[in-house]
Amino acid sequence: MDSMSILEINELTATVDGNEILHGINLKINKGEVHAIMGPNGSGKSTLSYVLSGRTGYEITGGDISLNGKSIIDDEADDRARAGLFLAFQYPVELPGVSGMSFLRASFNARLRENGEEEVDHLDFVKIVRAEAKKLGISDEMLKRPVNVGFSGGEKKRYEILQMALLKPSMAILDETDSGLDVDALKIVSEGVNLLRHPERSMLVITHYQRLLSHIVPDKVHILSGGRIVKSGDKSLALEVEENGYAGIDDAA
Amino acid sequence: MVATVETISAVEEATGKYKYGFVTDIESEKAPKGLNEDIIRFISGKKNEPEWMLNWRLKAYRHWLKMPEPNWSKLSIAPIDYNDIYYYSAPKAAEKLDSLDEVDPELLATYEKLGIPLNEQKMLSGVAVDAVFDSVSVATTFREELSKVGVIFCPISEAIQKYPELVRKYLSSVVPVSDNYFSALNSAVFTDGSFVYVPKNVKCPMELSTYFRINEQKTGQFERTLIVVEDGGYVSYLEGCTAPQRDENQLHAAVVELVALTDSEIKYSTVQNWYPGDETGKGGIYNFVTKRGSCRGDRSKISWTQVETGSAITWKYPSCVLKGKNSIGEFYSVAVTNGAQQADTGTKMIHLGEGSKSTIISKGISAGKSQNTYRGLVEINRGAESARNFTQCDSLLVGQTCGAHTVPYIVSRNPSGKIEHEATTSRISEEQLFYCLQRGITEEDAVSLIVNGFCKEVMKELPMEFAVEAQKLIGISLEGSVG
Amino acid sequence: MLPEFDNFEVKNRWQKVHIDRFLKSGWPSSKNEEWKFTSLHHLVHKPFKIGLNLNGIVESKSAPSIKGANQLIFRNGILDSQLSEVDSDDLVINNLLDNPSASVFLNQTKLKQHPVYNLTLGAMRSATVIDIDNASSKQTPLIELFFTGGLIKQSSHPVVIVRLAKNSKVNILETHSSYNGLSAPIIFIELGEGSVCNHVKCQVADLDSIQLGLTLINQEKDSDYRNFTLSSGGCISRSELHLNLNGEEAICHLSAIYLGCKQQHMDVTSRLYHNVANCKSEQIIRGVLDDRARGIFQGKIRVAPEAQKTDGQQMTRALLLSRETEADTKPELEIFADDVICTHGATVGELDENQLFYLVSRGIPLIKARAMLIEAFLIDTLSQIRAPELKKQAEYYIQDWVSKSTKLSSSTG
Repeated sequence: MDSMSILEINELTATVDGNEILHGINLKINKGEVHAIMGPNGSGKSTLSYVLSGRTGYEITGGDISLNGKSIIDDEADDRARAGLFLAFQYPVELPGVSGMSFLRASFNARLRENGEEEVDHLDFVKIVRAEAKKLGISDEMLKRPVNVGFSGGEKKRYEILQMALLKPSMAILDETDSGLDVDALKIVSEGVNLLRHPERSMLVITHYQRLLSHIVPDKVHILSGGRIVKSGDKSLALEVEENGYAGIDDAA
Repeated sequence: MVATVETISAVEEATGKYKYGFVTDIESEKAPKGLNEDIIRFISGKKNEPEWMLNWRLKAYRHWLKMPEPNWSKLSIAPIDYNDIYYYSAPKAAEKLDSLDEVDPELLATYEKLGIPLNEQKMLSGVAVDAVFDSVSVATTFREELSKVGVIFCPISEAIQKYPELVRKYLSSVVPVSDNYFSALNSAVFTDGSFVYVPKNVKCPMELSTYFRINEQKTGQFERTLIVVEDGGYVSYLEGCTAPQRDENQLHAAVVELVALTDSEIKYSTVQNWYPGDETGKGGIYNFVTKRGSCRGDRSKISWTQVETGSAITWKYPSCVLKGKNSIGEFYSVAVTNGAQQADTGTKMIHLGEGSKSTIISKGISAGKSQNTYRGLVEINRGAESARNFTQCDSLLVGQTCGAHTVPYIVSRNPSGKIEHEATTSRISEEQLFYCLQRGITEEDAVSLIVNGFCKEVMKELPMEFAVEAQKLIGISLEGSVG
Repeated sequence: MLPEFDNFEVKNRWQKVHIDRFLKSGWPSSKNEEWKFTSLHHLVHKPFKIGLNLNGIVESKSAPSIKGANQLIFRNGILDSQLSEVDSDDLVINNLLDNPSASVFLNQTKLKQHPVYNLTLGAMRSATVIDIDNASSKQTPLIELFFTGGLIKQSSHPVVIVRLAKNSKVNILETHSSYNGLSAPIIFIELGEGSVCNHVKCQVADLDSIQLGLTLINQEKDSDYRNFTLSSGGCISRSELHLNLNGEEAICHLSAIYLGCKQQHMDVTSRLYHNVANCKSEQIIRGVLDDRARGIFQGKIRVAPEAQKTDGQQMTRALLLSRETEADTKPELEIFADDVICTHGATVGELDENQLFYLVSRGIPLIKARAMLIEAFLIDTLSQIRAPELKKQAEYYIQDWVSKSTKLSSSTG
């Protein structure tokens, strides 16, 4: 195995409700690389992100996924998360009554515990969060609200990026981070993501449109169609999709 | 910051599933098992009670004998043998204490383990504690400081002797002796409990707190609490309960009476964590409690907040009789059941006064094979012009073998009254759980986090230090319920 | 007081069991949780004689008649085949008491202790069965069940069973008109797979009578049942409905209104059993009470452990128009499955002064303004009924009651 690779997906097949959605995905992402997966609706993009992060109901029927050289397909979702896999949700989930701070601290400390580090107390944690929040233009008032409750679309996405900043994953999956954002919000969120680009951090950006990729410029672009990666290339492939749509690419494959 | 904070870590470290399941090895003095007039005379004698008190007890006992034992539709309950219970049990060294130095160190250690340091010097700040061990009060702290402002906080047995006119005036004025089976039983055999009296225009300077613990085997705990707040007064009272792990069921049948006079306010908070029995339903406390507050004066307010995680069976409806004009009754409740627990709890809001208002927020969480029932009554009577009630009952189910039930009774006899009732039942969504898991939070922690969020509206009514404890308790109570 | 069974002979031997059960339990008292608010033990003062024949006057009803209806007229609880008129070929009508298997069919274990169930099954003189098998038909037949009677000390015990075969459809209008005695009908509707039924019941009987109706519904897979019940008659009225969702994807909409004045005692009780997964139920209840009337709504939704993905909604609102009314509400949830959404809501209050003032300030007379608001309060209960001719009937009775009620209250001040 290539020591440089962070995420390696081999011949991955997966089913949802007994229907096979992914028909053999192969993908390798090296340390520090940003890959994009583009595809039309129903191509399996979101399924891929849930399969990678271990959501129940998304069953792996063949192949393997390894993170930092270790297979994770038998690990639970929380194990995978603590091992450094982060999913920025397309639709972040509301947790009524759950204070943002206790949620963030619970996940932050879970990671520390996993690494054998000392947990941080409430006061220190508030300082850490405030510092990160400031960079993303997240107000103190927003931090006080229950998780994602009453947030606008843009606020929810920024809150996802804040969590990514705090948890410092080695592999981040951004699932349709651009959906539901206007131009200004898209810019703020992309800037947040770009700040988190790091030689030790790889990213997988899942998107339907090219517009996100002009803000977060990928090293490689893959086209997912019908549960398979049908074409890979550099960032120019995204522009090609913009120009000709998915239909043309499908034919080429 | 108050007393309980420093020992929370100690509580967390305690062993086993039920963290308070230890037994204190202490010599105790017990009356013979069983119930008859002689036992009542014995109890009364032990307490040096005046004649009127003994007669009052005997009357209650005779009444009790004639009452049928209640039969509830939603509770399945093993028959209780009232003659197989010790009605009086006292730690031997614990009579007549002038200072804490005389308290048996074993007892102090017990309370320390429970998270209630009785040692005044150790306390960070003011919570006055009355500790009731089995049947008797063993220590009341901060009494001197309270007496400076005229607040009386002492065991009720002491109040009967020192303040007989107050006790006679108010005892059973809210919960009549014959109110129900268990209130009659309690009246006959109660051995101790707390008495609080707040004089006119005095805001009690610290939280008052009682910790109840049942230690002895086959012992019933029948405490009696009476709180009277005069015009313009205020008190916040906390009650905590634990019991050791035992295979047989133990009976707890308390009566709590609150009297709020004009412009006064009583805030009564409970964290109840009696031993719930094991997963198969063996053992545990039968918690049959009558709690009622009377808002007698205009603009008076009584607020009940409870977090119920323990007991094999809970039967408890802290209620408010809203007599005063513009008086306010509130009930905030979290009831968590797991294993084979059964909880039937709720409130009664009886509106008699013009402009009286009540709010009910009830959050029920059922897990395991437990059954959790909210049962409540809102009654707006003819004279209760423009009375208002708002009720919100939410149930959360964790797992597929438990049950959640909502049984509200709404009676409106005045057209100007306004009643709103809402209830929902749901479960923790897979989406919410996955979101937490994806952030690296374990499933058990995630459930605890989401459940505590669900209870937020109630938890914020608890005094800070109690809220921390209650949150942890909810987490502990749900352990093993997912997966 | 219990009905008199002197010299009473049952049609079928098994009916005796029900009579004995009834006599043993008697009228329920408030100690019986199901009858907590309606203690027949205290409310029923007269002894009734069971209606045995078609004697007595037939009252004509006041609502406009419906064209093309298949009319079944019951007098004193007995089907009057002379007055009845059935045109549709979709309907097959029989008397179940001619069939020996009837006892098995009618044996509902859940209702073993139910006083009205036992009394009526014991005392019934006929059990009319209507079978509908019209999956291929384009038209939806309309059945009008019209119940009347005219003897003061007599009780009536009609039993009607409607069975819908797979994918069949029917509209039912059930009217309980002038009655001086006691009426305890049982209407039993079985909805086969994919069948559809709109059912409007108007209980508009005499204010002297006692009305104890029991409606029993069983629904199979994919069936769709919509019920609207209006109760404004009877000095004591209890309209009780039990519904079993026995097949997945079945839907039911239940709406009920009770309208009480004078010293009427109006009880609406429903028991909804979600027995299987993926069913949906919706209940809307409205009550309007005037004078010294007492209104009661008890509604229980029970969700069995198997009934995952249940969606159960219930909303009840009561409007009190006088200072001496009483509204009692007991909405109850009994839930044993975890993946469900169940809610109930209840409100009790009076007419909104602001709304009233707003209308009056636009020049609308107070009486009219009150009537408008009361009607508005009631009318959305009809929204789920998909048979315009049935809706019209219900609207007629709502308007009739409201106009009488508001006139009365304005004349008394």
